[in-house]
Amino acid sequence: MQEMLFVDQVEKYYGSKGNLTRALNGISFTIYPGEFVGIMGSSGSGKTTLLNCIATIDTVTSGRVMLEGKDITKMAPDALASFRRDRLGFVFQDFNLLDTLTGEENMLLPLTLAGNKPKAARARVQEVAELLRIQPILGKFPYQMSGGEQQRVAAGRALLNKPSLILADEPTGSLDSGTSRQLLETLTQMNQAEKATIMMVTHDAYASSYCQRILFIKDGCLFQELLRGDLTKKAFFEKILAVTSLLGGEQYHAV
Amino acid sequence: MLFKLAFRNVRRSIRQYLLYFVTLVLAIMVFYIFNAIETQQVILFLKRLEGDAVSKFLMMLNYVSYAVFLVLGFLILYANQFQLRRRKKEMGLYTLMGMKKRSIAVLLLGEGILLGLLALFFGLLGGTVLSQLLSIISSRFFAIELQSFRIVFSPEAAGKTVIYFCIIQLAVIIISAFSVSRQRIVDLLRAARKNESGAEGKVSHAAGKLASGILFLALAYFLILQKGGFRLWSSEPWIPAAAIAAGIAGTFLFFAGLAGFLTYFPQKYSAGYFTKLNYFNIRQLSSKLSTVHRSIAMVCLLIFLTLSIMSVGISAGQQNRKAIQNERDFQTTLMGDFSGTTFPLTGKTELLKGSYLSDLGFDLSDYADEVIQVDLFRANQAEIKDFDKLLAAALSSLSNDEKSKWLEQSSYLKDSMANQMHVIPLSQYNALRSHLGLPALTLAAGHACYYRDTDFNDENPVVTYLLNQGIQVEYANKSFVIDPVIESVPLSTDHAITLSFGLIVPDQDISSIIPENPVTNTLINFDFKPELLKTEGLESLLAKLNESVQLHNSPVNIFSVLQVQAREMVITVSISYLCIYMGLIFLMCSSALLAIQQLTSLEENRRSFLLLSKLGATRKQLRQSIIRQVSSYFLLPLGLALLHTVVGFLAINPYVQSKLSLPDLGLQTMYIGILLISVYGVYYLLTCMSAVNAVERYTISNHNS
Repeated sequence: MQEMLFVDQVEKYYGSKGNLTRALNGISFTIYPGEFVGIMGSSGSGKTTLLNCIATIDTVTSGRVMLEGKDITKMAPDALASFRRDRLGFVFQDFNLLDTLTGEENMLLPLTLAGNKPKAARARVQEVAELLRIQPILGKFPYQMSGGEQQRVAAGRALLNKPSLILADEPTGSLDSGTSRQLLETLTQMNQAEKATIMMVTHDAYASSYCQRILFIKDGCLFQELLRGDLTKKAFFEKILAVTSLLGGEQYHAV
Repeated sequence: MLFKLAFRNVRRSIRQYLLYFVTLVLAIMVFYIFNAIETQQVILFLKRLEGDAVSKFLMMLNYVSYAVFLVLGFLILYANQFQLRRRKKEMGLYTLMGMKKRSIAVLLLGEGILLGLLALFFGLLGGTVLSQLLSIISSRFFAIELQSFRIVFSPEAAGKTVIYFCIIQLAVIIISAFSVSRQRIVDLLRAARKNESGAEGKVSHAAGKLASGILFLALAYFLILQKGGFRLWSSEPWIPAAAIAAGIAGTFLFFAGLAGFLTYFPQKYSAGYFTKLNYFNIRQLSSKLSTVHRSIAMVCLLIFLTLSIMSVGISAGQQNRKAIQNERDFQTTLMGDFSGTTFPLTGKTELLKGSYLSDLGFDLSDYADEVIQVDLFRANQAEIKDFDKLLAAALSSLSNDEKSKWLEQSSYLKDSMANQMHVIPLSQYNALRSHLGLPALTLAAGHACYYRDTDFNDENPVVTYLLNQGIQVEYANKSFVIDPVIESVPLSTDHAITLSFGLIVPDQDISSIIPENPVTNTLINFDFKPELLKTEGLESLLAKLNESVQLHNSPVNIFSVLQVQAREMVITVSISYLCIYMGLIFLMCSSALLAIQQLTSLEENRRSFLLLSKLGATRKQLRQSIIRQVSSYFLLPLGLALLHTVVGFLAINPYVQSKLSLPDLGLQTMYIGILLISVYGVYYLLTCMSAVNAVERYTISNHNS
């Protein structure tokens, strides 16, 4: 199968010569089209750095990040902006929506930024809103929505321009458990109905149990990989918890 | 350590908080220029000629400068509040790290002193330069020849500026320290996270406000254009009052309505709304407007006030210039009380060297080729024949109001007749007429003519009535029939020597109606010799004359065209200076206010721009968006203010053209345009620059470097 994302020996160092932090230490992995992949790791493991590098928000020190066969680490800033606009979708932990815009206008942003015709763009918003069942809140302003509603609108926006890859950074981070579940189901629906490829960074085991595959990161390296296969969500969840406890940072873990 | 921190903060401040620094510098500049007005060529010129009036004007300016000081002080405080809000998080961090409140106060003090010193340096430098520039421009404007040009620095003005700004800076520091110490650390740290709540309210509500705003404005415009609402001191004071009230209410309602209306209207009715970032720009604008529409309306009115004030100031200057250029009288008049000396009672006098006024300390023939002498004699007591009878006849047909006016006037007239009547010899008066190219006045035997100075050109109904009745003035041994005309050729250079009531009498009759030793005012009018004028100039010739008069203690006063000009100029110069300065200050305040608001809200919206850039907005798109937002924010109040001004001009212009034969509207517009652009435009550009700069800092491409 043609790979969607190929991360090849990526290293990211922060700081100066005397005081070097290796946030990513030669990490490599592949994501295939239509996958729903979770990235897990404790704080400081490098998972947010990894996401930022893939999102073209941050640069790598060495290595390649190939998206649909194209090396995004070699692109110029303005080319990167249009690349983000056309090929990537984002869902962040918070501050996802612009306060002064309605739900519909927020969703329209990636399309109008790309210069799409208003009519076609609005039709696409309706289509996605129908799929994710968020039509009733399209006319509302963010301060009139609940946190979960805001995140679902943000998720809808990420889907709008049919991106190659949707990046989600702790999307349930500021939600309660009920709205978390709603959002995760929305993401699953996006993955299944629209065949969207999703990479979700989280440290919440419950959230990652919705994924098909999970990459565990520790100290900037790939630590372990977990496939859901035919497991029930509950069984997968327990498996995740087991790995997470290993990740906890003990020096003398017995394997 | 603290000092080092303060120093670094200031260095960063100047780069990042350019706006605050520019406001400080501009305020200092304006304040210095205002106080250094004494060094302006125009004022120096006037001071030499009309010292008293100028010192009165300067004293008044001194009081106005306190008002200016207050306004500028508030502006600086406001700018500083904005500055502080941006730095709340930093202050929070200092506190969190265990810095004592006192140390923070010391830090703020250090920063304030450093920033103040820098601002004072640049402000005084700029003020001195600009003051010179203004000096040159204004002396051109008032058509004054420059004395030798040199840089003038006014230490008093500088001293005053330094003291005042120390006071302001101190107040700023105290208030900053106070407001920081009052805050809880949590609030300081979280300051950046506060978001505005969106614009809420019903469409109908907003539309109603907008519509009533437009209606009020239409009413105000109607009153001004059709009902003469610009005549503030008209007989119907309710019209201008209503026009002003409607204008103010309309402006406030317009902006209040616009904020809400913008939120709802465009998305449904405009095709371009969903194109590019248009809807984002409009939403941002309307959200901002909904929180600050009151101050936007204030700014709009302030700009309107500025434009009006400035046009008053500029047209005052232009009018003065016109008056100066039209001057046709003599250059100089010598006035003295020559009761003891006898002059030949001839009109035009050919000057023979050494024969004329040589005992007064100078030989007039050195200066002039010919003089025109006018002797004003105090006459004996006189009466108007049948005065009471004539008056009674007139009074019978008058209303009570007019009656009392007439009685007052006539008793004044009676007094003048009895005590103060001046008589002018006919031959001398005719010499004046011929100098102006007018035909000679002829009087039949036993006739005289009424003389009144041009300054009293108001109709005096009693005099007009009496003249038309063909009255007779009776002296003890002589009486005159008064011709029913009024003569009013100026008797001297200086119109301030005025007669409200005089008689022109044939020369041969004079001796029979004046006492033996008459009180005489002699006016000697002359123009300087052209070749002298060319080599020495009017001002230095006059100075020379003055010197020798003082040296010899001569009983002569010297009056000149320059003085007449100066007296009129003191008034117009003070009006135009005051108006233009006040205008500049208002303009500065309003544009600084806009700039500060814009940048504050930008700071609050930094996450929006970060998000947009994550979503793939290019730098160009973001730049365009922010420039559009800033532009519409600056253009909205300016646009309405310009509309107000245009309406005002349309109303006033025909009136002004007919009454005052005033000036070139194009030139006036140009001057105002230059002033507007140089203040408002500079702030607009600065805001655009810092906004673009800030947005580029917020965007993620920065991480790539």
